[in-house]
Amino acid sequence: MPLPDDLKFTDYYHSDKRDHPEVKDEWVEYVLSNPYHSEIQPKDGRMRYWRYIPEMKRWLRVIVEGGDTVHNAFFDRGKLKEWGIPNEV
Amino acid sequence: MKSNEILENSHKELSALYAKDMDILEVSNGEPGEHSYVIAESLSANLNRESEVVGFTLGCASSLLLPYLLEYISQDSDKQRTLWYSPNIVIKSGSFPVLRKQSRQSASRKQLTVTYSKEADILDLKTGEPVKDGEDVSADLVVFYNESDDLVRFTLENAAQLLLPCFQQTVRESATPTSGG
Repeated sequence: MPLPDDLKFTDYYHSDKRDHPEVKDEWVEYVLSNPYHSEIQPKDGRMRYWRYIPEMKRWLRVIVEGGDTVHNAFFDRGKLKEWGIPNEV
Repeated sequence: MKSNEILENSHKELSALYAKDMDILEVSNGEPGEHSYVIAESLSANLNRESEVVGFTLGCASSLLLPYLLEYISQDSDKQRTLWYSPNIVIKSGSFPVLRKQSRQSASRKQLTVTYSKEADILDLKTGEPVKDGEDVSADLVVFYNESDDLVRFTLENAAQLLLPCFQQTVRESATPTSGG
């Protein structure tokens, strides 16, 4: 996904941020610029992007709505089970 | 409606069962729950035989959730029609299979925090502890763990769409004026 110049964040993302102190905004941008995998959420049309974050040894999932607004981000335990650690690391 | 009847609303893989007489809500991904784990006051995670989370059970459900969920439809008549008269609603008699199983309890009973985003239609049931990571229970339900791998949070997307039909009887009864003095 080409990272939009004016990446926005939903109110939900900001209000939820205190429960996700481990997620850095720069990692969110990294995931969106270099996604390993992406898929659409069929029910609401939001996009999910994933990328492995070596510092955390986990996959970060970023959910985007409307193409330029980050809705949520968290480390995805399920993808670590499913995909493991990528070879590039 | 009889007191032991349960309202069920299926929403793809995720389903919600509500026992009105007990005011207990159970949300499940369809897999059978074998035991439960108390996360916080009124909130338990339900786990299968492999100890994977398959959903949650919430006590005092209508009082905890309805004030938030009603915001979602308060000013939208289309949403009201769609949600209150959902064709997916099924009335069942019975009880919750998971509740009969023995439950394990976290070391200390934690206080439950409920937050709801009307704009995003996302419901969070949480202890408020920082999370380490999470995983999907179903397409709309994510469970989160803290650094100690304790379950600390559920996030339910499209929450009003799934849950509000379960509470329609409760809302209608509370809105009906009683006669006499």
